[in-house]
Amino acid sequence: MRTDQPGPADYGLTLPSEAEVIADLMKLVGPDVAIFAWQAASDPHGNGGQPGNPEDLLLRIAEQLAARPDAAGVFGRSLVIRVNTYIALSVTRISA
Amino acid sequence: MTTPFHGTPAGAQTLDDAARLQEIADLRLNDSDIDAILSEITAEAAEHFGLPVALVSIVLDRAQYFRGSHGLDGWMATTRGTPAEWSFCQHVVRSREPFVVDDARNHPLMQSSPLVRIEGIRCYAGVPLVTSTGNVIGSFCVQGPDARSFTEDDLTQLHRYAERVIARIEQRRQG
Repeated sequence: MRTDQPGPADYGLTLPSEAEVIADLMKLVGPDVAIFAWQAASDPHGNGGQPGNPEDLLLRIAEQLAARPDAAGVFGRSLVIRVNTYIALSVTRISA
Repeated sequence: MTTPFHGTPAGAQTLDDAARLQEIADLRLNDSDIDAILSEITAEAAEHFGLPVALVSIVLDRAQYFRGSHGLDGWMATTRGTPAEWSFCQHVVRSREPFVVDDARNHPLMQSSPLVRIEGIRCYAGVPLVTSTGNVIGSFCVQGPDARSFTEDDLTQLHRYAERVIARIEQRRQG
């Protein structure tokens, strides 16, 4: 395994925290829509959500948001791309 | 013809403009049929310019989203986009003008982007994708790994491709 392949840090890419994502979503669509969309996306079946690593959790929430037919959906698609980019660059670095 | 944007935006537009994002949502660009339709046009553009990559890049609030593409490989072929702050196309949307980069290594707005530093993109020319309501939703662009210049005729041709892309997208909205 080589470790000199560029990874997310070389690209200046970090994963946002849940708090940062919620704050950004609130800024974009307002607190009421943001909280509703976030709760629906993070716990779509109302069973308290599923455990997982931060990338998987964020990606799952982002994909749920991206399915919405409004500006929160556009925000979700942005988040899907950013998280997938983070994952892809991490995988490239590990597998190189 | 519009003067290509090489530097600081004048009539700047933010990426998180609410009306712009709502229109992107209304256009239903996540639908699977759109990729094949727009990729035909990008393949034609790449061949016309003799460049390896052509893109229909929809610039969202925090990412660019490739809804038509020709020539992508590596991780970008998988992610179908990149963070917006790395992108050349953000400058098309922000300025609402064409954005032309002959050699990104010497361009003040682009030389520090990882798409230049690490991915090796050198030349870029993109024009706005303007909807009938006047929102700039992204860029139709070509790019390559070597420095090169673009002419006024090149930009005219890119505008033609962009008009075709918008026509196809809006045709779906009406249908």
